[in-house]
Amino acid sequence: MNETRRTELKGRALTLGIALGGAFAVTVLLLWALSSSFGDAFRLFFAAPFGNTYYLGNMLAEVGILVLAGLGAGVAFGSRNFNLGGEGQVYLGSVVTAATCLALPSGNPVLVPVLAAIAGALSGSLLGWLSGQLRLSLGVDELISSFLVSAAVVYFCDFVVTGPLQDPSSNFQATGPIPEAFRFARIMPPSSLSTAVVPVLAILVLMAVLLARTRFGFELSLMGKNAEFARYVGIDQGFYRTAPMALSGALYGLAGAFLVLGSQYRVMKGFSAGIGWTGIAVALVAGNAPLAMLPAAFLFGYLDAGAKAVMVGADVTQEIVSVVQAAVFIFITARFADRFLAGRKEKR
Amino acid sequence: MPALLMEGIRKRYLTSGARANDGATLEVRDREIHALVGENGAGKTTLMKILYGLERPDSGRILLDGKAVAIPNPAAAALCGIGMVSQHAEIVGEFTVAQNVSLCAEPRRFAFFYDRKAAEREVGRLAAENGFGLDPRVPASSLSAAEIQELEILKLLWRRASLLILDEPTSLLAEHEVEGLFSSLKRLRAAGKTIILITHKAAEVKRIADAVTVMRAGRTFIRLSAADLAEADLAGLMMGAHDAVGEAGGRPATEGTASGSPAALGTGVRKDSAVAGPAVFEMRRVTVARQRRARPSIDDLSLAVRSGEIVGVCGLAGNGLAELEDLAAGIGKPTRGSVLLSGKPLPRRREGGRGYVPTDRLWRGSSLYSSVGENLAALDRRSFFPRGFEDRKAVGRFVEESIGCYGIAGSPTQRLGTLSGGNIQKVILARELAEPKRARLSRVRAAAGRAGFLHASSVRASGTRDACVEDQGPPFLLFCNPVQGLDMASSAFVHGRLVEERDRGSAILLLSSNLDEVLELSDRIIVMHRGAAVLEVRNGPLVDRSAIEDAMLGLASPEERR
Amino acid sequence: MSDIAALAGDALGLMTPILFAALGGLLSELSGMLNIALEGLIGVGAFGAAVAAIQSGSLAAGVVLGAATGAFVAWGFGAATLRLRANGFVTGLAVNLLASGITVSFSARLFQTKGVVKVAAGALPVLSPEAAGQASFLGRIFLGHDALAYASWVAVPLVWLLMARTPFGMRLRAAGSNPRALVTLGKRPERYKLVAIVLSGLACGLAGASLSLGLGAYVPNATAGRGWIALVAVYLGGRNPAGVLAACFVFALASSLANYAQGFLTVPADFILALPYLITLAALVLAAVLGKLKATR
Repeated sequence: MNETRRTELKGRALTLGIALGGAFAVTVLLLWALSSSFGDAFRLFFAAPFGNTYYLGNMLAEVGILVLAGLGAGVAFGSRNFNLGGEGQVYLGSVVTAATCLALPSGNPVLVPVLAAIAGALSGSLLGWLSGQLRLSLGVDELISSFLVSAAVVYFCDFVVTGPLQDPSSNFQATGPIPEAFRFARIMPPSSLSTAVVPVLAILVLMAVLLARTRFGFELSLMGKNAEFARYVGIDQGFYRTAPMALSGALYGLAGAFLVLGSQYRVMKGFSAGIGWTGIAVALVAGNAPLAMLPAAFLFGYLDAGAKAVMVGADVTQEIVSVVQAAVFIFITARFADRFLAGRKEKR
Repeated sequence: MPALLMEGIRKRYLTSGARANDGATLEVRDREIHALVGENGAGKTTLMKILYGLERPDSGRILLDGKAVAIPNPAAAALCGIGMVSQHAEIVGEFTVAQNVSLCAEPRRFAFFYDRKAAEREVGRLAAENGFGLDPRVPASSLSAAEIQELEILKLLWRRASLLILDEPTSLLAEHEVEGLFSSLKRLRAAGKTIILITHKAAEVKRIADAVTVMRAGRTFIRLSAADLAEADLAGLMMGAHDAVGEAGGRPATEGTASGSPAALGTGVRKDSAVAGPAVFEMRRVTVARQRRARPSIDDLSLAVRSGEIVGVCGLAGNGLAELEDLAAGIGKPTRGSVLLSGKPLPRRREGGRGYVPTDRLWRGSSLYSSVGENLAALDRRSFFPRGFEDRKAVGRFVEESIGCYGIAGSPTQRLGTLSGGNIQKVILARELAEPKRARLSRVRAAAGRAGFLHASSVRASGTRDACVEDQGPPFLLFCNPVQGLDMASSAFVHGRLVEERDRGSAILLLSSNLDEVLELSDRIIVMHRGAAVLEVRNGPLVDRSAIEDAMLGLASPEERR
Repeated sequence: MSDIAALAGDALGLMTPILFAALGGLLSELSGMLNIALEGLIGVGAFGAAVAAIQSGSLAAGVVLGAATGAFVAWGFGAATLRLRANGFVTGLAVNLLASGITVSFSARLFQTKGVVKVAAGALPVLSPEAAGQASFLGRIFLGHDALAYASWVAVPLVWLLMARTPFGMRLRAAGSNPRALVTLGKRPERYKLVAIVLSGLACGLAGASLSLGLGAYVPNATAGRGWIALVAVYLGGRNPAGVLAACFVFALASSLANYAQGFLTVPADFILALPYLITLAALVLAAVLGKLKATR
């Protein structure tokens, strides 16, 4: 490993350290400001996720979902495509998955879940592709269009969940539960951790291989680092404006699919809110690198679990997670570590 | 007492570690036009940036009229009466001339509002006083290069600068515009201003300068009165009697480069006339129209490049060279006419069969954030990713070979942005000159079969040229300003490779605004002016250089020369 | 006829927050700073205004604090992006996230609810509402709005004046158009960009104040995408105040039409909520099709 690589990694480590430290500090500050009992809040936030199998299992289940969301965000941002539509893509993916399962209740127990997951992925992929295509053929900024489409889709999904798919026998605004045969088994009952983590990890490895060892991954990486150069070595610009967006949407859609097939077994109104944004946070911390998504997802899963515990126990709202996430965003992207990186050149 | 004395200036850039200024000393007298000359990279611009407060020296001092001053930023420089016009004009296109000149020193009405009328009036007066024909009310985006120059000088005068620094002011000007600029400078001198001109054009210095300081490798080499010098001596002083000490590991590709030659470019690469084969690259009556402008950027241009020959196209900036580059690279499309490669229309997307060494080597030619290895493998993806998956061994072999054969001072995983300009160009060459790997691999294997076991590392270790030489490049190569900003050794290397490829039968189109380079390397020369090919000559010992220069300026006959 | 006047009048009322935010976005855009945080800034402004009005009982204090909150958060956003060289897109997202998180968290703490909080001091006073009910055609359109609405209309020529006719505006535009021009003249473009961002935060704060104080209650997520609509309005309006005003009015009119249509069409509530986003998207696509869209990045 040569000198510049070493300083780069040092810089990156420093940035991560500052981000984590900052996140910790902000969390403590918020807990102090908002909780009725700081000591309880502190203990609950940081320790409770490991305290019992319920919290721990839920946290791990969420980590799995966040890994997929992070992969989705990462594959887009790594190629300079801005997919801000994660929220809608996850939600739609979950709705389509649930709808498929509910529509084929007596179908093959292996085939139907697979079909449902694919359908969920495709629905998210369609949304992502749409923004990419709008950018390609009309020059509409995919950053804005993906967000707008997603926001509208969220309301559409709300409508579907509380309307046509609403479970008549339930008090909650939710769809009916999917047939037992289609569910991934619980590993750590009563938590929502299920065997869905297995395919999630498999997808993680697949994505890592895709990005590191294939022509697609190579060209994608070049598009992210210098699109002009990529053009002049003959990389198809149009393809890499739509394909990464479609893949990104597919991964988000899969996150929604596994949320239904593994964790919740149904769709509840608004249950996937925030996953889209957290996916971006995961990708940011992981630097868009697939294997780093796992620890990054763990960080945010932990934050979320802590916030849930505190909400129940010490009267602090769950929304502090958003604030902590925002802090992480800023700390990660602020260039404290600039002095450590030699020979940096910037354009724009 | 000199108006300006800079003593012992040292400046080292942290990011690249280069010593831009190494104990430079500059003495400028009052009311003097002083030329600061040197090759690219000699440190002239850095020294002036320090004077203007855009950079701070590590050590040394600056004295104005005998008094030591500190210049931490351009505002302080302006207070000392120093102004600088940089090489690339920094104007705001959507503002008028008056707004640009008065920016940040605006006349005000009621203390809060911009007094447009006063600005236009005063700027108009200032322009007239100095013989500039600028209309203060026109938008700056409509100005020509020479007018932009005048605007920049007006900006300095508006702020009452008494010491004016001009960085390469003639680089974008046509000959008659240069005359106009020099008249203006003489007028300014008569009005009491002191002027420092940064330039690497030895010929112009004699026309205008009262005194000259030559810089080399960050040091001020010698100070002279220009009247004592003939032009050739100045060029020799700038280049030095020895080659610049190049990067580590550089292995010149041809003979004749180790000894610095007295040729204007100094690369000393010359070859015998070629025997050319069939036409490989053709442009037939190509026209590229422009929106909202009457004159097309390329005007009914036809040219052909045959295998085994170098066609050099030269022209001043703004006459279509950049558009020609885009066309020949497949990026731009002609409005009329056709661009053909091997008889078929030039494919828009590159997929082997042609190499392209762009003018813009940092953004078009490389991915600075990617590694050296990734940059090398970026073009021939079909070979390196058979069936979609990376063939790591093949990539590794190719990268090692390239680093060895081209003498690239960098490791495969190193980020390209940390390499020097010369090495980056070598990476680009290694990539562009390599034919599709499949063909080469089979030839290398065949050679290995004949010669016994041939291992990639043995290529490097033995340093034999055979393994490197047996690579033949693609049939068509587009080289654009390939040695701009490079030091002597790297330039020699690049030129050497260029000639080698021609000798092996490639068709090469060389686009360059450097006439010396074109004269040195081309078999045929085409001159572009206003988008059209105005002159085409065979190159040789009897070629008429002044005719070419005239053609570049659009002067059809000797009578039109002033 | 009277319906048209009612529609136009409604639209003008709905336009206020969008116009304020769009003017702020315009300043930011002209200075060359990407600002996707408009939504979040409106949110914190709305919350700040409500908190001030509730705690102090004064609506004026609410307006002032709403603007101040927006300006303050924008300052943080700007400082992080400019001084710390953070990525403007990421910090913008951070502000949006922050807004949604902080407002709900503090609302729960201060008011013990995550939902609607009524402002005891009531809503902003409105100009001659009775007259508006019966007056002439023009009267129906232009009367009956609150002070902030009228202020937003006045802001349009003020912004134009500032940008086109003052040295500050010139330098701000130079910072966006060619920052190096300022550098060589010894000025720092970052200072102007920061001021532009703070002003945009102030404008968004006023937008938020007009939302919560106009209603007389703080409603979570009252912004409902207005920040994004404002952003699109800046681009569609050709980056000048008059164009931005026109674009904002068009969006407001669309909303007003949607409300009107809800009177006699049974449309699910979710669809109404999604409508602003769909309209904005449609406008973007339409403008692109008509070739009027400048490259935004």
